[in-house]
Amino acid sequence: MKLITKVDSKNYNEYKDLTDALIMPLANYAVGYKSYFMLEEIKEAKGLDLFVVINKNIFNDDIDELKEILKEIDKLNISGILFYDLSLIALKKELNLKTDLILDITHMMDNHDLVNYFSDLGINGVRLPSELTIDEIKSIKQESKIPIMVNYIGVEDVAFSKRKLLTNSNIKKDSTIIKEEISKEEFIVNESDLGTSFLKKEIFNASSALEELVEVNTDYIILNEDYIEHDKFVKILAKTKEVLDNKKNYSDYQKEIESLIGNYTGFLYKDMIYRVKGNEKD
Amino acid sequence: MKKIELLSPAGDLERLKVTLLYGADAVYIGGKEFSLRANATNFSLDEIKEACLFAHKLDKKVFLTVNMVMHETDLEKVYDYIDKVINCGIDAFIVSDYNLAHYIKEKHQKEVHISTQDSVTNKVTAKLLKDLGVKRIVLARELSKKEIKEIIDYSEIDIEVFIHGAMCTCMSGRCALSNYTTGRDANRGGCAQVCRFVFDSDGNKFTMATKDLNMAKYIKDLIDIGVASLKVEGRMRSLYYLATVIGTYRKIIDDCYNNSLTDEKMQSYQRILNNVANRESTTQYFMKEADQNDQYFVGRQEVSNQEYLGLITGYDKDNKCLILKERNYFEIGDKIEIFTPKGDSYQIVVEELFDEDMNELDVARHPEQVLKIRFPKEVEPYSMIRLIEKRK
Repeated sequence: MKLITKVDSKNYNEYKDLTDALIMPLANYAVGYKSYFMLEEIKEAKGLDLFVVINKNIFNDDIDELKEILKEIDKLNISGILFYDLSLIALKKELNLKTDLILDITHMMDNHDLVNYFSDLGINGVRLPSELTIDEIKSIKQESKIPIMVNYIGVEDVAFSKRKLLTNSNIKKDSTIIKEEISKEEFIVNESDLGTSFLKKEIFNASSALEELVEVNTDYIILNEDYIEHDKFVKILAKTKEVLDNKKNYSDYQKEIESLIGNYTGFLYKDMIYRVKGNEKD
Repeated sequence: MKKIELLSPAGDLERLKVTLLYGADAVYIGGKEFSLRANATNFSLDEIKEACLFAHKLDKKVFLTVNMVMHETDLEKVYDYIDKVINCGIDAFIVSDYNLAHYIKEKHQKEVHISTQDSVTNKVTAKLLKDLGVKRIVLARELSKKEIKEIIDYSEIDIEVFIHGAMCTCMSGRCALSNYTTGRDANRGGCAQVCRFVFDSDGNKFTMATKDLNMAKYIKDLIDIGVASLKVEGRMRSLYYLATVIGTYRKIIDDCYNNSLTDEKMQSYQRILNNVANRESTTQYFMKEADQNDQYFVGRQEVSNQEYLGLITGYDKDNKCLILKERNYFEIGDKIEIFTPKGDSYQIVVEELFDEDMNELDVARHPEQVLKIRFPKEVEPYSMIRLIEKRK
């Protein structure tokens, strides 16, 4: 299992011995993060294993510039591009790019047949959504033909709107926390020229499932530094690397991580409802 | 050139019949499973068969939505479901799972439409999907006229766009607010419309709810740029809403093709569409980026619509009375309009009102009560009555 990290600091070397690769969301082409990296900044991280994120919805007017960016990225010999929009599959072919493509369609990659369909299309890996249970993750991993990335620690990507929702609601900030009145759920809301992102405020922590993820040979786990104090995050990285190297003391490790960021496990152990009234079956 | 398709939603068999009679060229429906409107009544296999027979007799089409996101446990059942439902006679599937699209196309050689859940927003993706055998794409609702035209010109795939109804605040398929707030899975038909809930930021209360979409004045533009299908949102909408909206768009489309759409007619159509709506509407992204004018900030925005008075269920020849099932309060002296699936309409003032035994009444105040009103001739089944003006 490899450990990959979305960093919030540009002091890349600090992470070098703690992680197998970095995730770097490309400024103006990625959404759902706290911090982004310009292409020049990504070039500076050369020498580290890198995954670049291009996960915005691509519009016609983006395509010419995107082609130039993809050509530049292809020269960097990075580990892969995490992408949302299927246009990248066609552009890779058109431009004859060699960089691996990792499909990251946020909430929609929920079964292994879909993973394998994209494998047949030449996709090199997928990032699973946060709305899956641990049993679903394990099942997908066991049946999939290509590497799987699993969100492990960090804020969860909840929604994205093309609308400028803070501006439209007369909230004069680029970033704020909103609370839904009935459920009391809180979300971090970030607005940029691309639109508005919603992130769950609580830090998702899958440390309770690490042993199971290891057992099924999960290929990558993702740790996201956004909205976690830097010192705390470095500690989490070090502890995670240590437990993965030793493959023991998972229970102690879980307690340590929970003492740092809490024990919010999202949907890992919770099935969602999708029929509110009982429709009879055919 | 092929005439543009008017595509209506239908949450059950009666709505399907009504929308086809009122002028839809095709309907999209959900089965009991795997559809994104899990809380609509939806169709059993027998009902799907009946729906297809009814539509095909009118030379119209039925599309089946199987567009929820499939989880591991769904895989056991969804292929069986497709293999069974294929024999019901449906004309195309609307799906969001690309693997399922591939399965339907390869195993059953059936037409596949990619759902708006996949938020296709550009010409390169559209062309890729065409090359993968997809027949039609229901585009993301965040696109301008220029972008839609470019996609059509470049990809040469059939394009379907939404023209009327509720909008999502977030990109379709990229929203799990419902999941995280209510535990209901938005991408499996459980969306709780959390974007219409009230939020608090530093003591400021607000919503992020959007106004509805209404593209009536741009139908000619959509025809001209080569859109294949015009889609109305709302599988959970009422019979009256669907009859009114579909009937009105039928007239607008036909007027566009006949070059007979005047400003006066458009004003009348807009008035009818506005009256049936329960929220304000705009054209959202079609001519500009959606902004603060396309959404609400505070409070609940829905208004209850009281203008639908009843569904005509028959004709009493002896007494020369229309028989109707009441929906909303009305009384003697009210000005009403009887409108038919074929587009005819008659405005009258209610001078006499009877119950089903011809006892005289002053007011109709019991929904579902069978009533009679004098009218000189029989009208088509599924004709309806709306309020034009309350008595002075």
